[in-house]
Amino acid sequence: MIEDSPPIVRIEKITKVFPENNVRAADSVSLELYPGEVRSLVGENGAGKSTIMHILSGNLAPNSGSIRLNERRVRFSSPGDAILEGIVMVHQHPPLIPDFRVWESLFLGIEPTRFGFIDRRTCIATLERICEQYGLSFDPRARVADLAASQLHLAAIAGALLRKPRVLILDEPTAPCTDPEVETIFSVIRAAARKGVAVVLITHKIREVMRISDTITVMRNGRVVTTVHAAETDGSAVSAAIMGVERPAGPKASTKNETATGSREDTGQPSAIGAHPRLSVESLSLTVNRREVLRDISFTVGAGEVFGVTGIRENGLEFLEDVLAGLIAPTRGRMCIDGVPIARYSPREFRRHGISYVPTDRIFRGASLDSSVTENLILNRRHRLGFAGVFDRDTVRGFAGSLMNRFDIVGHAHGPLRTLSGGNIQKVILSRELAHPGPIVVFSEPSWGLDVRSRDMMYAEIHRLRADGHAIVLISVDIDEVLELADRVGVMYAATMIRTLTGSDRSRKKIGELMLGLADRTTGGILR
Amino acid sequence: MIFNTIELMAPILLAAIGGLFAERAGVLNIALEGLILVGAFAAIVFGALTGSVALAFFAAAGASVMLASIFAFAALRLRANIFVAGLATNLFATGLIPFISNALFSTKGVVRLAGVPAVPRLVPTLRSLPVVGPVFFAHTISVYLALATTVIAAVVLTKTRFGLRVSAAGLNAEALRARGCRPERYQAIAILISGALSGLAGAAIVLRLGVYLPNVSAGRGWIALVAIFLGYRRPFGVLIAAFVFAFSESLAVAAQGMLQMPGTVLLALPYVLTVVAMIVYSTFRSMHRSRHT
Repeated sequence: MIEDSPPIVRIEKITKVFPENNVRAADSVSLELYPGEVRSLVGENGAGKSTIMHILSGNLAPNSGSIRLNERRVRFSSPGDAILEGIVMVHQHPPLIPDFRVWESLFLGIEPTRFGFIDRRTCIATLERICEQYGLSFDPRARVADLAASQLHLAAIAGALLRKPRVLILDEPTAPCTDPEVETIFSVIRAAARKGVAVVLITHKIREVMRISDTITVMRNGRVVTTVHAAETDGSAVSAAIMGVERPAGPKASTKNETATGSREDTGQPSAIGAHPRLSVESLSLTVNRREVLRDISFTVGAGEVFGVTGIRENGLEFLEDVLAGLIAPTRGRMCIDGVPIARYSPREFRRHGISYVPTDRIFRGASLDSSVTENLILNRRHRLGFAGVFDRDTVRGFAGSLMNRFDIVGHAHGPLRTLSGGNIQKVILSRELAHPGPIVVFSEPSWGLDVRSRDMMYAEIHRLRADGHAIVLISVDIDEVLELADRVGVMYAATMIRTLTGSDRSRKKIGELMLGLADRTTGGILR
Repeated sequence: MIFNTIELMAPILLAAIGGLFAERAGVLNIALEGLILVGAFAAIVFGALTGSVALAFFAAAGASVMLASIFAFAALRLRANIFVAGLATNLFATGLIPFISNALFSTKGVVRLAGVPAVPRLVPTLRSLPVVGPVFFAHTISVYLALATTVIAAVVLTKTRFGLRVSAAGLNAEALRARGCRPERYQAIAILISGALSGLAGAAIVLRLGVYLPNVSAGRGWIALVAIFLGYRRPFGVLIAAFVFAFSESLAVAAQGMLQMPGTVLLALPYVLTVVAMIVYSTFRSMHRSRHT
């Protein structure tokens, strides 16, 4: 019935390629939005949902394609242009000014004035009215810094409503929220839609999608896969469309199968499960900014075993990575190595205990871009490459050279790391961490930024470590990668590890449903 | 001595309030010193040319705004490093002035011109009041200009749309951009304001002397910069800080006649105070921080 009226927004063949990594984030995307509808935009990480909405809201410029608003061609060069046309986006992490009052922050850019001065009373009264109308509960006079994360999100949504949007885009609005807050956001969305606003909801939570949406658009690999009416589908069908499981194995999957020859059968029959664990994580919990980001997580990893952790971003993977790297101490629970609890959480202490760590954010966390390739390569071993703190030049050269050979790093050994290509920078850091790995190795997103060949080399390296009896934790949002490498898979959802899958249980479909929060925790049944 | 202090405070305060606008917008304007110098030179030239104090002040503000606009263009549009651009502006000013003065007056040093007007004082009748008269009403108009600027700055920064956006540009430029405003625009305007006020500061300095001397600003731009932070980035805080610096300056002058100390040591007092103030400020800040985290 909504389609009877003409679309308010018509996105036509928008393509966006990021020059930094040559990723085609949006590939000829066409999309229509109708007044009064609630549209959910779903898809895996990197499917292009946020990209296309950033283009619509003027935050990004497309390479090609056009946007029509009420059949009129529009071109946005900044978010300001889009706001003037009534297209307002609430970002996943709204940029904030902690020192401002809430009302100052929300009215910034549209301040009402009286005699040239900001009309503070009107600002506060307007916000209080909106709060009352939608049942929001933040104090407009409070300092932004004093609001909790979920309150800030509600405030940011109120700020968007102040701008009288015709199209309201919400990027993961419910991520930091508790159930009652989710209900509040839903009531705001419904009220806006009733007034004829086209609401776009970018989210990963399929259950919420099924409840709130009129229509659902599924994206994958920068393309729109399908748009369906919520009433005519169910959660598992949407989840299948997101994962692309109904599709025969794509080219990506087949490459992996070819490269994994020899190790494939081992993977099914882990060599060391049941043997006494090298690393055990015991009821780990972590609270950050009054928000529980990890809840009661336990698992063990034995020698010669790869334990995979997967899930969708913002569900706790990043924090688990930080704890496993010794960067954050857990609020409760502990980690034991060979049954001995770790006393202090620091990267240095972890390294001393034999935990090697390959971070997700390799460039910023793992490298010094202005130092030379050699300097970056020897960071972990500097005390062994010379005498009394003075480097032995030949030893250093030999060491760096052998690593560069082994990992096929292309670049000048004495040039700054910055001058290497992205993939080669990745390899420098990976090779450094893997040159003399400890008995426990934590990988986070090992294949990010690597091309197919380097990735295969990486996988072979992980297989070799496993065969050598290292205990490996593999954190990855890529289900294929986890299935390929891990003996057991723990799936994270909403700060908890909702299930650990072994052997034949580890199907792509099952993992997908678990990480989207569709499967019931105890029975594994699908909720519609 | 208090009287003298207030006179000496005027240029520091003017420049500091100007710098405060830039600082609030997230641009540390280290070009204040150069901007003051250019303003001072312009004030002398146009004062002598026209014989009008008002025009001398206007010319000073205008000349400094022109220099500030080059600084803003380099820093904001060309994305030059703000420190390098600021230092370049200062060096440019110290090179430009002798160049022009050599071309016009065949001197690279002291510019002494006939007909430079003296800065008038306020309301002669009020001045004759006992005690309060000299302290409150006997100053040159520079002082009242500086004080009025402070009050206006306080209102503009906290009560107006422009002030709110300038603060937002300084605290989180991306937040401002997301709400449809261009932070660079507000930063540019703030830099131009700091240019105008530094120019007035320069005029206030030289019109008291009636002559332009090389490096006549004597580091007041840098002192103003410290006063901004010492005043906790608030206009009235800056006023107090500027007063403290001016007091040390007048103390140094007065002490020369009274104490048996080398004049050069005493004259260094304001600068020593600047360093001490900076250290005290950062110590307090870190104490404040550690208590709050």
